Amino acid sequence: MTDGPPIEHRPRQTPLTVFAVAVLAVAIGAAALAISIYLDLERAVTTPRENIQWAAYQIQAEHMRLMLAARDAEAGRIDVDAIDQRYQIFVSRVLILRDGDAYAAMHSIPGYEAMLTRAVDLIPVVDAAIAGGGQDARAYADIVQHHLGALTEPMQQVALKAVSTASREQTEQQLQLRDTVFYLVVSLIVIVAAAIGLAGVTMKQFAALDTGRRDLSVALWRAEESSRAKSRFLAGMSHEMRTPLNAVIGMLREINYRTSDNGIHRLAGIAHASADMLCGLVDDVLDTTRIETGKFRFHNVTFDPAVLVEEVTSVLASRAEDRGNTVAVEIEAPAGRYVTTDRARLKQVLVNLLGNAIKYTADGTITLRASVAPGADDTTLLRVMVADTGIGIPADQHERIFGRFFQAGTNDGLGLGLSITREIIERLGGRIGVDSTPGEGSTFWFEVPVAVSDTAPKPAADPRVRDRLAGVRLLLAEDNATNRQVIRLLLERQGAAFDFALNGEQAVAMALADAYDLILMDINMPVMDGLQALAEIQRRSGRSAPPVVALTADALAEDHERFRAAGMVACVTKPIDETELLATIATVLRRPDIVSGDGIALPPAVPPRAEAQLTSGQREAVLSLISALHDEEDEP
Amino acid sequence: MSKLWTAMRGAAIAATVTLMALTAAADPLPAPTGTVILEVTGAIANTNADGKARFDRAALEAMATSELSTSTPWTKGVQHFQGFPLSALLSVVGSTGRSIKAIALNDYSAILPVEDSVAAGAFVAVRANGTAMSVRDRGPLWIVFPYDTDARLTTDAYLNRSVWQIKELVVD
Repeated sequence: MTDGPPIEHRPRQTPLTVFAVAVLAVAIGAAALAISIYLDLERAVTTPRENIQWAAYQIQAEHMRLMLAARDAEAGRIDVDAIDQRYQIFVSRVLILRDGDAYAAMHSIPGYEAMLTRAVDLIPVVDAAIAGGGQDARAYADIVQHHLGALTEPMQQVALKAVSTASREQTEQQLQLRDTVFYLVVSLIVIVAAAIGLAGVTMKQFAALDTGRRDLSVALWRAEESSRAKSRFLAGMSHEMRTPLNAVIGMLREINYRTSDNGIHRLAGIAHASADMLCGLVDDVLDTTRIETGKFRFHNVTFDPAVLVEEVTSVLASRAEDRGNTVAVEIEAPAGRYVTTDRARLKQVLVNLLGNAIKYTADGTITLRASVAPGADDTTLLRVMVADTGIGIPADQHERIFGRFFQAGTNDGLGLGLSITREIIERLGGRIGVDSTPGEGSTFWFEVPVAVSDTAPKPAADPRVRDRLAGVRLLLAEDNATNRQVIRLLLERQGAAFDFALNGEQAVAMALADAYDLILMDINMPVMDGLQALAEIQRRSGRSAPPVVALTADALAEDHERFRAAGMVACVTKPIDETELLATIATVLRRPDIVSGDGIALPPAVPPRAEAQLTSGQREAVLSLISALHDEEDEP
Repeated sequence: MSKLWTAMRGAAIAATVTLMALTAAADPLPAPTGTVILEVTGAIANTNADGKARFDRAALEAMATSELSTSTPWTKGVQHFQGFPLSALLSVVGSTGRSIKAIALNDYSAILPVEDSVAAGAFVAVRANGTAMSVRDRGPLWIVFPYDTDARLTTDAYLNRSVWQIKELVVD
């Protein structure tokens, strides 16, 4: 864990925050005020409201008209109907004032209440009096004057007060409106000022953010560049390490073939296994950089899964034995079923999972179960499960173990294996997972889609130990001294006749000067590279040019296609696999006898000799290898 | 909502107007036999006196086939009015004017623009809550609007047009 210090995520209370909150409060207050003003206006518009001055004037006017009518009636100028109509109109006015909602505001006029109550109370009295003796105009007029005459004074007072009340209310409303609007204006000024201030701050922050973003992208570019540089360095270093390592492995193999001493056999075997492991680690690093740089490619072949499992278990058998573990294999696949996928990558995955199981289990049982079964949507899945009875993995680490550089409590290994394993499985279109209980063990499983066939793949060439290439004349263009040593030993053992060219130019000259059955051409060489040399040979010897096979350290399929397009008849990758080389030569020269017929099986069944010493040939080989490694170091 | 109401009301009134117009064309305006309650003068085509259309209570009651229920700013509770739309009356008298001056018993008067008032649902009430309106109850005739249906109708403009104790209409 490389957790940094905990980052403070809580927003800080800056003066700006406080200011913003205050401005927001002002804005909310102003908005509330504006809404209340709007609601007041809305109510004023929709609430029926008579003008109080007009209403006060009207009741007074109707009363006056009634009094005038009474005087006219007394003087005989109008009849009883006319005065009755005046009286009824007056009464209707009084009743409207009493009943109508529109006159609520009238109650604020001093004396209005008393006047209205008096008028309302008088109506039944007058009605009764008229009913009892108001049949002629004079009598009617007397009754009206008698009962309602006294209302003249309060009516006038109310009319006058209505004017002052209305004007006072109007003044009050205006003052109130002025205060409200003043507050609104002040709020608006505050809000506008604050908005200008905030806009300024925001613009400044945007500018800062922009600068920050630019800095960040520069930093990101630098980080990516540094990561790329690191990947390039790792890739370069791994590549450089592979060449001497492969030489070591090749030499050890030769020593194994040539010795008859059991002790040396054992020592060379241990050294070989160790070199293999070291090579595996370097390959892991190389794989990681390939994943990072996106150069992870696959090469599909058809093979029997049972054979693959057998190979893997036999490679790891001694390691399991060392730790007291039993390895049980269960294969649930119909016999003779072949699958097509990347065999080498799958082997890498199996070695990794089984190796981990052995590494984290002591005196236990490891079960490897493989099956070929139909999956969803017409696909066929190769399912593999590796169960151990080891230390187990806590649930919270189930995801992390597939990350890079993770190690479960120990410090051996680079911690790259599972991350590469997952990468391989996922790039093959499969899934990988783990179920585990600490203390009880772990079960790693994966499944990858595969193509299935019943036809056996082309039988792999059975490597012969000796003299399979007797009579074959080869030209080898290879600038690297170590590689020359490795292949020299191989070809000598197989009885081939061969010459070395140290660069492309030499290769062209030698190919033209002498007749070779086949040319093995390294690609990257000084002076003239392999492809240029190929073109030159074909140009100058035409149809009589011997077939040229590319020797390349790059295992990328796209490179192979490029070489074939340039005229190479085949590609052999370095480190040179003896079987592959023999099979290629057999195919190119149409000489199936190279890979068939009786031969000496591997490992070499050489009877043990008494003296535990290197033969002179072995000593020579080791010494030349060491000197070659020296030369490599001295090379610029 | 109120716009919809207005539109519906407009449609109903239009239908009524057409019906009344047909009736009016068929019969000349009969002369009143009882006390004249309403006189319509001015720009009208159908008359039953010298340039006047005069109506007694019987004639008005005969026309009072519509109803309007609404509260008003001057009364308590919802009033159930019977009467006729102003447009119906205008069609009976063959009005050609664009405004009406409504004159009350106390000589108060207000001007009603015809088009706007008809569209707002101006209604001439002859009876209130089942009985003829006395002068005391703002009778004999009262121009009311369906105040409850549209807040606009309780603004000053329409309150001022709500003339009660009507005795005369002058079409201009």
